Order: sequence, then C-alpha cells, then structure tokens
Amino acid sequence: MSDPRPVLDPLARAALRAVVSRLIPADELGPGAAEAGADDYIVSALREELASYADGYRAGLAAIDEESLRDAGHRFAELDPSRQDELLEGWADSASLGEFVETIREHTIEGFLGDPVHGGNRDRIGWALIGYAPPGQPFTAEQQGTP
Amino acid sequence: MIVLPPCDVVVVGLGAAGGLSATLLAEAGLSVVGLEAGPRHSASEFAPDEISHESRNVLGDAKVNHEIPTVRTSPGERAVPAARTRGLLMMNGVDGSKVHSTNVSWRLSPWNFTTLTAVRQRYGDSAVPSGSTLADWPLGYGELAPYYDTVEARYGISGQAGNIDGRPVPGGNPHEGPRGGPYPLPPLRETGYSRMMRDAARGLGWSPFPTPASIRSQPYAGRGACTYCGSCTWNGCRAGAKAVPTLHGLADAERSGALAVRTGARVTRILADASQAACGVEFVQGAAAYRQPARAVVLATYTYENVRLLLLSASPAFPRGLANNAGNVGRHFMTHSFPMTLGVFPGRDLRRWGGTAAQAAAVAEFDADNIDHSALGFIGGSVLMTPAEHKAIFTALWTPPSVPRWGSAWKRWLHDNAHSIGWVWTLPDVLPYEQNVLDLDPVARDRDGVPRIRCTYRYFDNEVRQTRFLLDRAAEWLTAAGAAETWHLPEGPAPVSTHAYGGTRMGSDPATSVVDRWGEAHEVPGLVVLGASTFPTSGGVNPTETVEALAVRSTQRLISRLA
Repeated sequence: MSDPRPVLDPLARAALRAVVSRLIPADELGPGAAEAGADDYIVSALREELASYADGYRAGLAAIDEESLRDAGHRFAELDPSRQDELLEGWADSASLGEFVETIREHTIEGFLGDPVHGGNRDRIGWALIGYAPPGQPFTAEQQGTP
Repeated sequence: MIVLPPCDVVVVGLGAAGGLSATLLAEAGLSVVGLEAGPRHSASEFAPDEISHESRNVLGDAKVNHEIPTVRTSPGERAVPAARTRGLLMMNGVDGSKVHSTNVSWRLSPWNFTTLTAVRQRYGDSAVPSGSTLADWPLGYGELAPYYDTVEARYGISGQAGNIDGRPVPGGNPHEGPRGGPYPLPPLRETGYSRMMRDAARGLGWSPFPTPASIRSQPYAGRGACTYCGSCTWNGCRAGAKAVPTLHGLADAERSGALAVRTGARVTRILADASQAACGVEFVQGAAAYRQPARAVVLATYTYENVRLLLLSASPAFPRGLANNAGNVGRHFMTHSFPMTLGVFPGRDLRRWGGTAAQAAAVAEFDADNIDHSALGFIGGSVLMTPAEHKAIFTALWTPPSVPRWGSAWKRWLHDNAHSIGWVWTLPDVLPYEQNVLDLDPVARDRDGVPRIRCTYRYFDNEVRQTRFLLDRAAEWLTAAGAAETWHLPEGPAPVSTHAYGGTRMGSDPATSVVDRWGEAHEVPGLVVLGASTFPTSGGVNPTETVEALAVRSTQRLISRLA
C-alpha cells in the first residue's frame, strides 16, 4: 500500500533536484537530468524498489544542505551553479559524503538513460544524447556493422 | 509438517544443473520431484529494460536478492553486506540463471583438471603459492569430454570447433581439448566490432575464434534462433533461443508424469536416515511445511546455497552440518570478478548497441598454461572476449578516468563517444586458498530469518598479478585495433559473483573433499551435489557447460545405481 506522505520533504526534494541538475546539466548539448525527470524517477523509486535507500537519501540530502549552509551560507538549491559544482567536487572525494554522491550519480544516470517506463529519460532525452539504439527489436547484420 | 508420498529422487533447484538432471532422471523412468524456489517465468517478464534487470535483478526477487552474502577479507573482521552487486546476482526460477545468463558456453582447458601436477612439473613445487589449497580434479578432461559432447548435442551449442579428435580445425580455438565432432550449430553472427577485433588479434599473432554459446544461431530441435535483440545478458530470451532445460526435455518430462515440479518451494533441510544416507528434504511452500521422502537427493542450487543448505542441515550424526564431519564444507571458495578493459575509437561508429554479449571474438592465448609462465609471476589465466550488447546505463557509469565523472564535460564526452566504445572482458582464474571460505554469518539473516552465507575472501599476489597481466593484454588488443585510449573497470575481487566455485570440493580423499568424482557426498550416500561448488579449480572461462557436463555424468551414475 502506498504511503501518502512524501518520501522526501520539500527542502530535500529541492536539494535533490539541484544535485541532479549539476550531475547532468542542461547545456549547449541540450536538456539534462532534471529535464529528463531523473529526480522524479529517484523519488518514485525510493518509494518502491529503492525503498532501502530512502533513509540514506534523507540523511544525505540533509547533510548536503547543512554543509552548504556552513560553507556557503545558503542551502544547496539556493546557490549558483558554479558554487554548487565546487561543493559537489569536494564532497565526491570526502569520507562523509563521497558514497552518497556516488549513489545519487548512479541513480541519476538510471533516471537519465534507463527505460522511460520507470519515469525518467523523459522523451528519451538521454538516449538521444548518446545516440542509443534501445534493445527489443531484432538487430540486422547491417545494424551490427556487418552488411 | 505434511509428509508427501516418497519418490525416487528429489532435485533441489531446477537450474542449469538441476533442471537437466531432473529431466534425465525422469527420462530414465524414475519418479522425480523437482523443488524450485522461484517461479516459472514467462516471456512477458522479459521486457528489455536495463533498470529492471541489470540494476535491480527483478528475476531474482523470489529469493536471491534477499539473501545476498556478507563479505569480509580476513577472519578477524566483522562481515558486512556485499555492496555494488549490479550484474553479479543469480536469479530464481525453473531453468535457473540460464534464463538470464549470456550463455557463453565453454569447455574447460584440459590443463584446468591437472593444474597442481602440471605446474609442479613445468615450474617446480615453489611455483604453487603458499597458502593455496590447489588440487587436481579427480577426473581428467578426457573423462568429461563425452559428456561435453552430449550437452552440446542436446542443446544445440553454437560455435566453431578447433580440435576434433586431436586434429586441428582452422578458425577454431587451437588450444581447446579434443572434441568428438563439430559444434551442432555454426557460431553466432559476427559483428563489425568482432571482425575488427578478430583482425587486430591476427595482427598481434594471436589466433581468434568465435565465442561458443548456448544460444541457437539457427533453429535446432524445433526451437528458434537468436534475433540479436540487444537484451540478452541479465534478461530472459523472448525468442526462446537460449538453451534452457524447459525447452529441451523438462516440459516433456513433466507431461510424462515422471517429473513433478513444485515452484515457490524453498528447501530448508536435507535429511539423512539412521545409516547416514540421504532420504529426502524438508521444504516450505506458501504457508505450509512439507517433507519429501526420496531414495536419493540431488542438491543443485548454487555455490552459496549448496553450502548453506548443508550447513543448515546439521543433526546429531552431523553436528557441523550435513556431509561436514571432516570439516570441508565451505572451503576452497573462489570466484570470477569479470574485469574489463574499455577502449574508445574516436569518430568510429562501432555499432555495438544490440546483439548479444555472446557475439564475440575470443582468444585463448592467455588462458590456462597456453603461454610460458616462467617469468610472469603467476599461474593460470583466462580467455579474452569482445562482446556486443553495449548498453546505455553501463556506458555512462564507466567513462574513462581522464574524463570528469559528471557535469558538462562528462556529458560532452558521452555525446561524442558513446557509440565508439569497445571493450574486452576476461575471467581471471583464481586459486583456492586456506583462508578463502564460506560459512554461516553469525549475525546477518535473510528475509526469512535464515543465516546468510558469509564470504571470507581476498585476492593474493597470484590473482593481482594475473588480473593486471590480462587487462594489459586486453588493452594491447584494443590499442592494436585503433583505440585512442583504454581504461579498466575496478579490478578487485568479487566475493559475490555469478561465477562462484568451491565449497563442496570434488576429490578422491574424504579427508580433504566433500564429494567424490561422481558428485556423491563421501559421508552421505545418495546425496549428489551438482554445480560449480564441486570444482577444485575455477578455470578462466564461463562455467556453465562444465556444470552441465558434470550433471549429466553424475546423473547417469545415479540412474544406474537406482535402477
């Protein structure tokens, strides 16, 4: 039975969206993870298949905001992108947040490049970026490079 | 406890080994009950979906996902749950992990059966690392070869022979042991990438050949062929082209009435009678507990669960676990870790989306003892393979270390290069060591409250050096083919693996092994153990065909004993 309470509170939700926006940003190559719905994918997965990660996300996102407030005077989502990138780079190598950043990175990639049936990769944005030919139909010899 | 009518043989686990064994037993006219913890899967569950399969292993949800072993590197440590098991878990269901395996289908090298003797003869006693418990198999390649032939014929294995009755065959593996005839089916289709790598291997003076697969390249025995759909590894086959027991006799055996399959049936205990012979099992199905009496028990789950069930089946006659009075259950544990080397070929579309990872050129120059190891500092080796079936999430997870791990520069690199990445994978042989063992975790339990398996496991110098050597050869191969940059996946040991060996070692001496050369437990007549848990050495290739050949051999012996 689905729990009506949000799996992340609004502040954590905002921090998550800000993080995925920097991991795979919108830029001159096109939309990024937030536009692909990667954060929606993560929130929805935390309620179901990734439920065992939910506590880790709540604690990790709270820590991200705490460290942002301490080091930059604002919550993570309120910072400008270049400051966000600096903080993320520092955390990625840290004992305290490194593992959590890696977990978000992995799940963001899933939400950007996974099957859209899971709620991410909206409009196949991720697949379009890398020129992916998704599986499911027979591949011909020519499609595999042996005409 | 509901006591069921007795049968001749109860088979625990209906995967590559148990599914085949149950079918053969039923075909021989014995009454067989097959207990499978998972369900019967249907093609509707095989949607091509990297999140469901690679990331979450949904086909393992019945059991294996909830009992992941704990791991530690040495005996003094407290074990922790294994992390990062993406693509390293088996699944549950009739036909077992052959449903979602890539089904690469090798024979072991003849050298793998006699490694201890061969190493001492060629390199001297000191070449065997101290602390290793390396042993020869109690049977040789020549004894197993007819059973490899049987498996290949039954399943319609696709491949190119390299050695028929000792005569070399051009285009095949020049290092393979003699086989009785050609493969039943031609190899899987070449790809542009496998051709490119084949040519590069020849340029290096190596002898490439097509990877053999338990996937039909053409229709065979009324069954369909591979469509190269691109969702093969970690997914079931929607074309029915993978050779699984159901499609090759198991369903017929059920229809004949000789084989009764119970799905969702989790075995909790193997039983022995007053004479210490196997006499049945206890299992749980739904809310009910059952006892299935039988004249013989075939234990064919998987390496971790074979060991766990024996340890959980302790009794006054076997206080340390069934068949474990000599203390050998759980010892000599080994795994493959699937290290890979990737390479980028800027500006070239390698067309590696789609297909199956079993569509690969392979070389065996560095497997077994096919090269002189005198100056290498290790023994053993592995084949190298160049698969198709490149997937999106995998590509993005494993960008080269020279590129930032995220952000616009990472995104730019993926945009420019995702279709230009090739890789080579390898299965470094590992030695058994005194210290590398499986036992029951004293604390961690699975979803049903049963103790989890605990792996105490690390690499020693032999494995570190060998892995580095093989990855260097892989990089050399990719570079020869034109890669501008190569990089490796993290190359440490993987204690939780879909290629796990040992724990119920096969041997002639009851003091140092759990089962005899027929797979029957020394201490428990009528208990036959199937699977790679019986392998004394791991070898440097995928294990399934050897598991199947041993299953046929052990089962035929059991049939003759019960007749």
